[in-house]
Amino acid sequence: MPDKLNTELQALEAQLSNISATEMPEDMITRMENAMINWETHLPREEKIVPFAESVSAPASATTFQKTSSKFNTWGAAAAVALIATTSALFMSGNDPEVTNTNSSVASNSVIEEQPERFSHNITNASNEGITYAGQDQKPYRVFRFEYTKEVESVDENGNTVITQEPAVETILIPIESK
Amino acid sequence: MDEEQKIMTIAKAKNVNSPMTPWREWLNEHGSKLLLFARQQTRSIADAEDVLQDSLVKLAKKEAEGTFDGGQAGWLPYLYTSIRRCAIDLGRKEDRRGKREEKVESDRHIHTGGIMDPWFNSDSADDETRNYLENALKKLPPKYATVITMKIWGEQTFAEIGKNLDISQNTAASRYRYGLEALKKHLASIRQSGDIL
Repeated sequence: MPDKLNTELQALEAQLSNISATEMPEDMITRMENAMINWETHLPREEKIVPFAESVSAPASATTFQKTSSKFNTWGAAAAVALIATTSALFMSGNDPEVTNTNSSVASNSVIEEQPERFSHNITNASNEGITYAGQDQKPYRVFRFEYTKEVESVDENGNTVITQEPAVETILIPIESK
Repeated sequence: MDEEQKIMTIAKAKNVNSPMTPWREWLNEHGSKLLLFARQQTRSIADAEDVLQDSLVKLAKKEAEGTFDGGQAGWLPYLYTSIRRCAIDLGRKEDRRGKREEKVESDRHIHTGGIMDPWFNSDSADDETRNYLENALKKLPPKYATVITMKIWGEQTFAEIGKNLDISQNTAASRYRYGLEALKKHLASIRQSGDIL
């Protein structure tokens, strides 16, 4: 065992001992407690993230993702895939999607006729956010969150091709069958 | 699911009228030191909460299944080890995902004027010193900061620290000393610049 600490280090040790760790907030204690009580339905952090192998962005011309080693139900994954496809179809049909944090590169004084000749979107992140309870009867739903960027090619008044990239987020609830 | 089960499920989900469980009592007593350790092991408060929660749930599962050895006295050592392992795994995954969450933390730091999720309670008289100590601890090499955190705020012995970190007791003690010396040097340099008394 090393020798005892010298006087200066002992003083520093005492100074450190005099400061106390921040208390765990009540709401955090409640979350922890609930997670421990409901350990059977708890999702570990690694299962909340659905990693995409190697590269997080799909090719520009297609929306693709790869099956991961996550452990959530196969039917749930299939349902998520179906919903993504449905959502993509909605976007492709020209319906107005929910868009957040638009980051357009188009000059504000240009008039744009949006005539998408090429439309694609990349999923940049997908995560299984866990379980929530919703609706009047508080049924359980598994929450999936998808972050993606979509590219819209359009032509401005000068005939120049403008490609806009818009980040967006989509949250999908999939009902969980009750036993 | 019958009505009573539905009500209990909702009550659990919303934590309405839940009686205090033994878990809550224990968390009231030990939660702060575990949260501090989780903060020290991870890159953000969100990550800290995740690894802490995952570790607590693992413990709850083991207890429920009757597979945990050591009783309540073994909970803390188990959790320190588990938090550290979860944090290491998370760190590897975070590296692969890039620096996005570090940027989020950095942005929060800017927006909150530098006061972001303090690790320690502040007494207004010693707030500045507390800040310097906290920042110095954060700058320490992780292997030193880990031992210091476990020893001083986790109240672990060198033997327990050694067991949790899979190092010898002597190595734990040496890291503790080197860590304190590094902290002393850092604080001395700040003192020379006149920032703290």
